[in-house]
Amino acid sequence: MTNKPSDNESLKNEHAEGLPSEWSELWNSPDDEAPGPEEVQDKLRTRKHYQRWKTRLELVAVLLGVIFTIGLLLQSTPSISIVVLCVFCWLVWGTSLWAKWQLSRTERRALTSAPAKFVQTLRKFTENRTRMIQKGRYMLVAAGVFCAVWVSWFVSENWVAYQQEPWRAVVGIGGVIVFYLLAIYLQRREQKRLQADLEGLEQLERRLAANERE
Amino acid sequence: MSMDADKQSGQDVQALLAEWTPAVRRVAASYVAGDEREDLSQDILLGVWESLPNFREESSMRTFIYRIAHNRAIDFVRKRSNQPSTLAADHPTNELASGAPPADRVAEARCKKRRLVAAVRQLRLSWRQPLTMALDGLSYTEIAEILDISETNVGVRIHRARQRLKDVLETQETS
Repeated sequence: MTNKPSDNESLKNEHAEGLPSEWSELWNSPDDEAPGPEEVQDKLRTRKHYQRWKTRLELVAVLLGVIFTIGLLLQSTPSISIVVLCVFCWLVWGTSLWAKWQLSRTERRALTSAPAKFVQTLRKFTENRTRMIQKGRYMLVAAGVFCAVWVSWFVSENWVAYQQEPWRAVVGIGGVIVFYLLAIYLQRREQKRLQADLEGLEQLERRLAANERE
Repeated sequence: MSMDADKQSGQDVQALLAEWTPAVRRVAASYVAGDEREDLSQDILLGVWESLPNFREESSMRTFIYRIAHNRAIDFVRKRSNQPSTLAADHPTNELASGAPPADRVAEARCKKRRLVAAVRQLRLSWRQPLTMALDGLSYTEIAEILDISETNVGVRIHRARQRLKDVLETQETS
């Protein structure tokens, strides 16, 4: 009984016979270009350190932004434009942090699954993100309509003051327009990136499935 | 006490990573070459490090690490190369172009290894993965578990990969 190889063992022998031993020897031969273990560990530590600092910096930046906007709201009686601007900023920052956290959580979980499942999970996640970004576009359109109505009303209300000091209108309305255009640009850029990512993942998934069938 | 435990655990992780570095580098070499290989190897090791808390011992450490390695590699190639098709289909390249004849036996072996690795990189992913794992000495059962396919399927893929690899290397030798 002890001499009889297990099924596993016989399979191992079978595949060991199947592949030329020269290939196995070459494949497993020492790697001349390999850096030493200490160098590898140093590089890894540096990368991990850098990643941690990057995350911390992002969190601190958002935190500072939130403190600043809360300060804006608390300092004096805020105008409706300031309130809208602050809420919009919180939404964008919150969504961005949430998306990053979700991506790293999904990737970490999927990383230990089989490769085909990993690609599928990434594809589904990217699909959901693309849908979310598309919904964000409707939000932007709604915000644009709101801004247009509000700016028209505000200008008509303060028409006399703006005639005396036109630079106030230029700075105020111009600021709103620049902010809005920037939001549109960022949204479009993210949508394009996600779309390309999704297409690549779908293509990869299709090809892998086709390979399975062959 | 807690600091000692942290230090010990840190040393364990470092030892584990050092132990698996050669295997990780071989996986990386089957996807990309040159500087990208170094980047990918580090990416994989970092992935292993970060995923260690998720290791539940339901599978072996080997299965765990090979899955992370191949998944990270797929993600790396997908993001960097913008040519995901190179992952799924055979893609002949001119990497195998022969240079000057090697000066001695060591140089000859190095040259042969480089050609083998380059030829492996040309294989489609579904053949390349089981073949490289078999070359690493993994059993059909382990490969099947990592890829979540049947052992028969593993056998078929390795057989096809072997044929294709032979063709590529023979073509190279005759040219």
